[in-house]
Amino acid sequence: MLGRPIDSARVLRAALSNGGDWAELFLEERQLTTVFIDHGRVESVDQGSDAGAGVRLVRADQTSYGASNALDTDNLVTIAGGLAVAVEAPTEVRAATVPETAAPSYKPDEALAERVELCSEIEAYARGIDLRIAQISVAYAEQQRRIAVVDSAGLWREELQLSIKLTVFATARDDDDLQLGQSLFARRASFDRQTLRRYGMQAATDAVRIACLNLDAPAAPRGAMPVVIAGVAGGTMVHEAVGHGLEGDLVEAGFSVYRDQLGQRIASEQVTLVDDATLVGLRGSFGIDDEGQLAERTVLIENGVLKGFMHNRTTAARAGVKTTGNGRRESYKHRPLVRMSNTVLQPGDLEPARVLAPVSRGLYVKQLGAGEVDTVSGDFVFEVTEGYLIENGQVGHAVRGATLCGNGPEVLHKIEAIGNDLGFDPGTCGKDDQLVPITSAQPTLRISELIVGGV
Amino acid sequence: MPSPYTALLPAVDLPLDRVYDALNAQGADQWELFIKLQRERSLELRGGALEARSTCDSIGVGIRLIREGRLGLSYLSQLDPAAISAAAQAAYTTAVYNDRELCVGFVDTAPATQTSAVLFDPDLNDRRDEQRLATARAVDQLAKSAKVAHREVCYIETVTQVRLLNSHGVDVEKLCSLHGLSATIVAEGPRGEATGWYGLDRHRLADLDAREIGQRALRQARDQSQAEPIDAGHYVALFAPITAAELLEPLSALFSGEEIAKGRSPIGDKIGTEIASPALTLIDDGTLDAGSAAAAFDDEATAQQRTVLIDAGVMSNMLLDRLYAHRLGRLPTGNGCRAEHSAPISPQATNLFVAPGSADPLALISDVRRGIYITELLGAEAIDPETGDFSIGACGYLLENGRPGRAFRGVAIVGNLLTLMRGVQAVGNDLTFFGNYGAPSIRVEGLELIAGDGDAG
Repeated sequence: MLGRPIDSARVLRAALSNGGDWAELFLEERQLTTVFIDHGRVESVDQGSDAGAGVRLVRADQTSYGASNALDTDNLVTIAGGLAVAVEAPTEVRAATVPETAAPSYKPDEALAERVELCSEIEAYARGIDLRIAQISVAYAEQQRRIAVVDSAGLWREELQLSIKLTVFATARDDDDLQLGQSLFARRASFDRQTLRRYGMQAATDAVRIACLNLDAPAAPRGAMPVVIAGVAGGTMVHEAVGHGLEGDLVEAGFSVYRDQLGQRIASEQVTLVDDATLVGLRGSFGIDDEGQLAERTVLIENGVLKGFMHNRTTAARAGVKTTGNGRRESYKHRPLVRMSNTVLQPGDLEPARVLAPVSRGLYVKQLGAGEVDTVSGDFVFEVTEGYLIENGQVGHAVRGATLCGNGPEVLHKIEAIGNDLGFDPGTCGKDDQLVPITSAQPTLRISELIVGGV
Repeated sequence: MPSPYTALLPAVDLPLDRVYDALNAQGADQWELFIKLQRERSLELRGGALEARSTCDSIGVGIRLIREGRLGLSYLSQLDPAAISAAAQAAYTTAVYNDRELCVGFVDTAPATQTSAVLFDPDLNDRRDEQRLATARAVDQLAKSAKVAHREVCYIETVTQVRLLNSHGVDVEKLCSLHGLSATIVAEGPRGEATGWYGLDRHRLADLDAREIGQRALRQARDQSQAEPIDAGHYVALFAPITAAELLEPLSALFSGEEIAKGRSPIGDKIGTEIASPALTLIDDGTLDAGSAAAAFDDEATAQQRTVLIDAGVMSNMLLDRLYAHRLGRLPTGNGCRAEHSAPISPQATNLFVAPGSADPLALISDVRRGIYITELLGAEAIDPETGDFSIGACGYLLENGRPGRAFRGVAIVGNLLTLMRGVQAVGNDLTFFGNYGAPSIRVEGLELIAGDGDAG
């Protein structure tokens, strides 16, 4: 890509020189621009680039991977040759040459000025919303990622993936009490001043509201109780508590609680869960995955029955199914794992207010923070960053410091009501030290009982 | 510059004269070039069979420059003078937006660069794939057992060289190797399946104990597969080194000079006052070989040092890079770190650890009639860095009559890091480093536990 064209056929032939099922060359270049405003100061505006390639050799149950920043054919042939360890006969290679691409073009002064000005405007707006706001930070990142995938069977696909992300952090202070609120807007899109301004202001309003609410809020109640998660909270819980356990590599390795349950009822009947990379413009969307496979919509759970797992090329081959286009990697430095894209718990037909109505005392969750799951047991824990008490079917006063502890398989059966709304939560998912952009979405839903912890 | 380890790093050619010309031509008052070369090799065994192996060579170049008193930053993944020149131009363009107050000049005196020989494994020059595989297999063999349903072992070997050059003529280099070995075990038991994980990082392969890693992961999985819920309440708790060390990362944010300068740390004004139990001494030591962050100098060429943050309960210092030392009128503590070559410098812990005591961990609990021993945490990264409040999942063993008894799981512990530090009763003699965080076993009083299974109190 950068500099000279790359003779992919030579690279892939070197990888397969001692045999193997197939080999693949992955090329990537990225350009990033970031703006960070903190405490009223423009703290850093920077821009940079990254480019590199990864060669993968797949042979039966074994994957060999080599990566480098040096994008020239000779270097990649050396790396590929290092992977060739098998003793079978050479495999036929059909592969395209990857044409050269231009060197990074950094943003000129005017483009940077426009972004800095917008971030400063959002920061100033956020600071003015409430007198108790002590500090605001605004972090903006814009990325242009170009990938190309060539394999030994003749596949050649490339894609330009654009993304933007704007996060507002608010710190509110009241005497000695400090509380934090944050909210973000993130899409697969290029910079558009109007759109970014509108959603940036919304993020500012949300972050400030959360920080200030938590200042006044008493501690969350503790114990087992009904929990209603609002659609606007997005599907982080579903992503963590269920989604990871449906990833083909964890299933194959025996690290998923759902691994032997295909075709079985694993959730209440109202639950239909899909992973859909084809939804336009969401943070987890793409046209091709990082193995060059076309994006798909994959039904994971339908009316409570486990229909399928997410796969990449290698896990699909071993499971004897087709890949679902979920082969993703953080960068050329990594081999692709099985990852979610946009995970959507499908809406039902109840008005959100009616989902809430039967709860006499419980917790209403409007924003979820970080979470973690043990995929073997399904046990998870989540931070609730915006929570309210539910009293007699109504949303009451805010409570702070709540966490949700539960078990994924149990929670799936405890989903008793599903709203007709749908909220999206863009995020970044980590697995085996690789971060990828995702979105999780869900309607308002009621869980009959979860353990609420509180500080 | 030829050296015995050149073959262990990505092959690069750095035409220094042309790079200097490119940077000087930019018209910046000062510039700094941060070059990180790294080779990472990894192996993954699944059920004893080699599942994946990979090698990743990476080049990271960070450029910082000062234009009329403002800092500009750019980065790239090539060492080509033309590409560096274009990135320097990009950094120059960004500088005009950055706040003047957030810029201090680059170091003008080179720090001592004598890196401890312990930080680089001399055996690496002759290391073969068979040895890497044998190391992973040794862990796998120990983890094998009748009750084990699945097992995975990871071996990761990293050689990193950082070179820092600037317009004051400073040109220094540091080199280190790191070996990571970990096991994930799934065991079947009467209460279903459970996972056990254990892993360590050491500069030298010979310092990694395969036996310890395999056996600890196995024991955790096996015991957790028989774990039962326990009652909610307040308990005397013993944190195992791995769980105590996990709490140090969120704790370190409270000591960051940047967070303190921005008024976001609850202990910002507590230097000289008692913030923890007298049994607790917390030290950041960038010179300590045992931790993964050991180096002669930090990422802005300040010599790394030993900084006592809490001295027998009294807060005595904070973590500072050059900028925040300047802003707070203190001296830098060698904690100027960049997470990646593309990231700005900020104050971060180097090797942060709780100073060990003299008692054997079992002796710490000999008088405990009813308590908990915590061997695993879930969700520790969700701890609020501004307040230290936590509510996280925990697993471990019940302590009964001075001894660990049956295993428990599915509970949450709640509290606040600052309160927890006041509740420390004793620390053990078993200091263990996990990456750059280290802790001995730590006994605390009155830890609140919320139980699962509907019997919460």
